[in-house]
Amino acid sequence: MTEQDRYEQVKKKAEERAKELFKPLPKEIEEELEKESTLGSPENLVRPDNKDE
Amino acid sequence: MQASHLATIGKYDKYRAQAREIAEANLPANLKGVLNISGISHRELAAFKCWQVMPERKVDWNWLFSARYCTVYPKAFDMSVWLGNTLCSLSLGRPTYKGTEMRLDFIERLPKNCQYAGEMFTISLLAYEVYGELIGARKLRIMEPLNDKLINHYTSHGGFEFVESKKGNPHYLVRNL
Repeated sequence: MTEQDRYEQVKKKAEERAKELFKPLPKEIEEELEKESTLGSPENLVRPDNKDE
Repeated sequence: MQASHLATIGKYDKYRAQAREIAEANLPANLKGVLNISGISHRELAAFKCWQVMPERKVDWNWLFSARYCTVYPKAFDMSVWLGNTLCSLSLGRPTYKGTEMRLDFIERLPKNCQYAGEMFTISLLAYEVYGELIGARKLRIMEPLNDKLINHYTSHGGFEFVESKKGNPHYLVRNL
């Protein structure tokens, strides 16, 4: 598969995925996402990589 | 810096730009043309300074390290979301050591009066999934998801599985791409 083919394939898949992701969320989940302004932590960035993954 | 390292940065710059472009093109109708997706550069870091003085801010992360991070990890993905001249969200992540999984390591959004606050995570998730696909990763990880409500939601509706913390690594959600 060429890079261009992969790009087109990813683009098409993203259209479908966006439809799933941007569906209305349950109210409690919407509230959680609106309430919290952070996710994860920069500490994740400095932990050494697991070389088996 | 070695030439091969520079070449990798250049190669992955293309994927980063493509992922942001695809994500922006697939925003829902109410956000398309309203929100813009970009990387993290001087402009974003300048806008971030406004966040640092907001009392509503819950963390004291300094995003200035993001430039260095993207140099150290040339395959990392950095992203920002703008509403006009307002910086709404910043996020960073990178592939795992073998490159088989893409990690969404952390996100922060405008601490106060963020329009579309609830959408910022979803927009980032889409862009990270797209980037993961472009670089050939097979899975996407959300590192340290917020809480049980969100974990339950994404495991029951989003195709994610929960992986517990082990050997000093944090817990995460993972989904096949």
